[in-house]
Amino acid sequence: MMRLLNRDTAAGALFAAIGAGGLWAGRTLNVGSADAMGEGYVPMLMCGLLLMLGAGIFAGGLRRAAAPLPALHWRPVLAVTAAVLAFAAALEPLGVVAAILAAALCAARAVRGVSLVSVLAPAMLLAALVLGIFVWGLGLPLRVFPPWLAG
Amino acid sequence: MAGTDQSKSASANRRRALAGALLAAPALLAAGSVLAQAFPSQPITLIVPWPAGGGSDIAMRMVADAASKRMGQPVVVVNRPGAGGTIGLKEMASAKPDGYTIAMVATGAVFAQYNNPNANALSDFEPLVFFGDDPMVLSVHPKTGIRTVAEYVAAARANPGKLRNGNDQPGGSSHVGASLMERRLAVKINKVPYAGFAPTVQALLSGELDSVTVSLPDIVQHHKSGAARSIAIAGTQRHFMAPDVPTFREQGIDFVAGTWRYIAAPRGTPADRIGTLESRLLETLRDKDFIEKARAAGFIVTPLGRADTIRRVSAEDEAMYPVFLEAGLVRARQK
Amino acid sequence: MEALLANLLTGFTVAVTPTNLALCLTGCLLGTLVGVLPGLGPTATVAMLMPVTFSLEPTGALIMLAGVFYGSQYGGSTTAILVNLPGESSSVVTCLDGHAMARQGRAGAALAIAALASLFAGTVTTAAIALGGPAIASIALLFQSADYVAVIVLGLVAAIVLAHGSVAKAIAMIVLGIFLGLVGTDLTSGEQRYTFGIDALFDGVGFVPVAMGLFGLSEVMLNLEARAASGDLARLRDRLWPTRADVRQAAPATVRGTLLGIALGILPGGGSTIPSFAAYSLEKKLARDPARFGRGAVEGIAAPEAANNAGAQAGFIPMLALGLPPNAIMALMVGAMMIHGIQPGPQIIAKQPELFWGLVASMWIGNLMLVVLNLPMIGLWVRLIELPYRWLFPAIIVFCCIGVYSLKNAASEIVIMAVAGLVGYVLRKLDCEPAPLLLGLILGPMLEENFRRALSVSGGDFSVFVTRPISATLLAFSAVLLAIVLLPAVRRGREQLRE
Repeated sequence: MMRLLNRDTAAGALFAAIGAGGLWAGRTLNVGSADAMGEGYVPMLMCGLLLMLGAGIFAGGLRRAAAPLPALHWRPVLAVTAAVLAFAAALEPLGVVAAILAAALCAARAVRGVSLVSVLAPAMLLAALVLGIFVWGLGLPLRVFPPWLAG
Repeated sequence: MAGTDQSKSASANRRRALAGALLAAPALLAAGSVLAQAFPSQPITLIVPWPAGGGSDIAMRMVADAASKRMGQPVVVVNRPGAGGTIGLKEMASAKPDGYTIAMVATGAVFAQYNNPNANALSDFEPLVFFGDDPMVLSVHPKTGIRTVAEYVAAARANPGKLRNGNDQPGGSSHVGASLMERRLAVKINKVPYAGFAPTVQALLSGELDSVTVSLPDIVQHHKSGAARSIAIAGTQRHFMAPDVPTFREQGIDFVAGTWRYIAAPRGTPADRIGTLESRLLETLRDKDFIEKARAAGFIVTPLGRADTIRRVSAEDEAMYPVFLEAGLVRARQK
Repeated sequence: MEALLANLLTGFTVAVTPTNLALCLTGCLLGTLVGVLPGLGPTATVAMLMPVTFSLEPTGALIMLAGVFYGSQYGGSTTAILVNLPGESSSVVTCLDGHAMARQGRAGAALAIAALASLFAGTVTTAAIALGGPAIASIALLFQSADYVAVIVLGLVAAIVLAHGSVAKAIAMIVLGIFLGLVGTDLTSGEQRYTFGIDALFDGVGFVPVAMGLFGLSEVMLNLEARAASGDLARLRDRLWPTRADVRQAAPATVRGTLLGIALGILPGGGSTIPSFAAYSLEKKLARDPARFGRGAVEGIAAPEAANNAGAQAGFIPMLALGLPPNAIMALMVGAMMIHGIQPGPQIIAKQPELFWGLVASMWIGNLMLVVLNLPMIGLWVRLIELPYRWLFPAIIVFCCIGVYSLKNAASEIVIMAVAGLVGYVLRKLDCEPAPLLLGLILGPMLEENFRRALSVSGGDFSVFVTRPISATLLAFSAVLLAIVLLPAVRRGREQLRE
C-alpha cells in the first residue's frame, strides 16, 4: 500500500520547499555569467539542485514504500529549545547565574514528573561549576549577576 | 545595553561574584563607594570589532596591556566581530557614554556607514586617539618583469582590465586601496577578491595573479626572498621593514592608502572623561617601549590626539566616498 | 642524517629545559580544557594568551601556544565521543563511530583509540616537519583556484561516501549545507544574500553553532525521547580499554589517516576538516564490511582522529617554512612570532635553529604528555557519563550555550544553535544525516569563492578544471569514487543496511 506520507516524501518535500524558497528569496540577486558571476549564480545553482533532488526523493518515496514517519515527541524538543532560548535571552541583561537557572527550569519540563523545586539545587551547583571554569578559570567576559544586584 | 556591563571584566566579575556568593550587602556597598571615586574607577572595556587573532586584535591587545598601567585600571579587550566591524561598533555607540566602553574603529567603518543600513555613522563616535597606519604596498610577480609604478601603468594600459590584482572584498581596505589606485593611475585592472591577505599572497606566489595590494608585513619576506617584488608603498614615507621599497610619491604619484585605526568613545561621553582617556591613551602610544614593541610586530604607531584624528578621518571619508559611489556600493545613506 | 640528529638534539636541549617543559604542559592542559568544553576553541584561547607571551622568551611562547592548539584537538574528540558534541569541525566525523561506541558501553575504548591514533599521527607529522618541511610546503604553491575547487569537490564526494542510507538524501544534505554556507556578505560583490536585514547573518552562518545544534542538541532531544519511551537509557557496563582486535583493526587505519592528513593539511583552508572526512570515507571504502561503519567501527575513529591531528600539525609546515598561515590559528602564531621580531619564512630554519627545532621537539613531547594526561582521565570521563541523564543534560545545554556565546560574545549565536537543534531533530527523524550538511557548510563558501575566481581568471572557460593537471587528476579521482557509490550494486548493498 502506498502511503503518501513517509520519511522519503517528507524529506523530499522539505528539501524541495527550501530550494524553492531560496529561489524566491534570491530572485533579486544578480546571476551574471560564467566569467563574471554575480552573487546569485551559485545560490541559484544550489537552490535549483536542491529543488530537483527534493522532487526526486519525493517521487522515490511515492514509488516504493519507504519507512513510515516516526513518532515525534514534542515535549523534550520544545523543552530543550526553550531552555536554550531562555539562556540566550537572560544572559546579557541578567547575567549567567540567572540564565542557568532559567535554562534549568525550562529543561526540567522535558521530563515528566520532575518538580521545578528539585532542579534548583543541581542548577546552583552547575552555576558554581560554570563560574569556576569559565569566569574565573578562563576569564571569559561574562556578566555574572544582574546589574541592579551588583551595582 | 549589554555594552557597559562588558566593562565588568573578568576580575571585576570575580570580585563581585565572590562577594555576592558570600553575602550580597558588602558587594553593594563596595559598588557604591566605587562610583564616588575619580575616573576611571573600574575596568575599561575596549571593544575590538574583529575576531581574536587578526591584526587589529593584536594591535589592540598590545594597547590594552600598556594602557592598563597608565589608567590605573585594567583595560580589557572584548572581541565583538561581525558584519565588517559594524556589530562591535554599534555596541560601543549604544553603550552608556560613561567612558568605560571604548572601541577600535578602522578604515572599514567609513565604507560600512554608506553600505550597511544597520551601521553607525562615523559621527556616532567620539575619536580619542589615532593609533597608526598600515600602508598598502603594490607588489608584483617577478614573471611580469615590472619594476616601477611607471612600468606597471604601461602594462595595465597595454591590456586594459587584464592585469589581475589580488585584494579583499569590495569595501575592504585593500579593495578600496586598489580602486583608489586605479583612479590615481588612470588604469583599469581586474580586481580579484580573496578572503584574507595570506591566501592573496599565496595566489600571487602560485602565479595566479600579476599583482597584489596588501599590507607590507604580509608580503615583506617574499619580497626579500625574491618570490614577489614590492614596487611601491602607499605611505607618506618608506616602511621600516622594507626600506628599499620606494613610496608612490617618490615615483611621482601622490597616492597614500592602507588601513588605519583609531580608538573612540560613544557620542555623549562627558568632555572631562574624553580628555582623561585621550591623554592617558596618548601617553601610552607615545611611549618608546610601546612603539618599539609594536614595530617588532609590524605596526607603525603614529599617535595623534583627538583633534588631529577628527581631521584625518574626515579627509579619508572625503576621498573614499566617490570610490564607493562609482562602484554602486552607496546604499544606506548618501553624503 | 647526522645533521638531522644534531638538529633534533639541539631541539630537545631547548625543549626539555624546565621552563619550556612547564610551558608545554600549561599549554596542553589549557588546550585540553578548551577542547573538552564545547564551542570554546583554540583560536580565542591563543588570542587571550597573546599578552602573556609578550613577556616570555619567543621559543617558550610558541611552545605554549602550540600546546594549546594540539591539546584542543585531543580534547575535542572527548566530547564528540561521550555526548556527540563536535566542538571543532574536525571532530564531526569522530562523532559517527565514536559516539556509537559510547552508546554500546565502549566509550573508554573509543577514547583510548582516539588518543593513541592522535599520538601516532602527531609523531609522524612532527618527523615530516623535521625532515621535509620546506620541500612539502612548496607543494602548496602549485595550487591555484581551479585546483582548490577539485580538492573541495573530492572532500564533498567523500561526505557522500561516508553517509549510510540514501545517496540522494546525502547529496541533498550537502547541497543544503552549501546553500547555508552562502548566507551572508558575498565576497566578490559585497552584496548581502539571504540575511533578511539581520546583523547576525551578515558574516554568514557560523559552523560551531550549527554543528552543536545539529549534533549536540538534537542528540539531547533524541535521548530524552528514548528515555520517555523506555524509562531510562539502556547502558552497558563500560569496558575501559580497547581489545587486541580493536588495536589490530585500528593500526593500519591510523597509518592511512596520518598520511592523508599530512597531504591535505598543508593546503590553505584545508586544515583538519577535509582530512578527517576523507580518511573516514577511505576506510569505509577499504573495509570488507562497510556496514559496521556508523555503528562503532574502531577504524572510523582511528583514521579521522589520526588525519585531523596530522592535518592540524601539518599546518605548521606552510606557516613555518613559507610564512603562509593556512588557518586563523596559524595566523595568530605568525603574530606571536612577529611580536618578538621573528619573521617566519624560508630563512627561519637557518636563522633561528633553536626556535624551529625546539618547537618541533616540543610538539613531540607535547603529544606524549597529552596521551599520558588523557589515558588516566578516561576512567573519569566514563564515570561522568554514567551520571543520571536528567542531571547531565541541563549541564550539556548550558555548556553548549556558553561555548557558542564565547565565539563572538553574541547571544544571537545561541539562537542560531537553537534553530539548528530543531532542524537537526526533524532531519534526523527523516533519516537525513547531519554530517554531510556540515561539510557542505564549511566548504560551500570556499567552493564558491574558488569556483568563481577560477572562471573569472580563465575568462569563463570551464575547461580550466580539466587542463590543469592537479585539478584534472583530483576530479577524475572524485568521479571514480562517485561512480562506485552510484553503481547500482553498491546502492542495493546500502539499501539493505537500512532497517
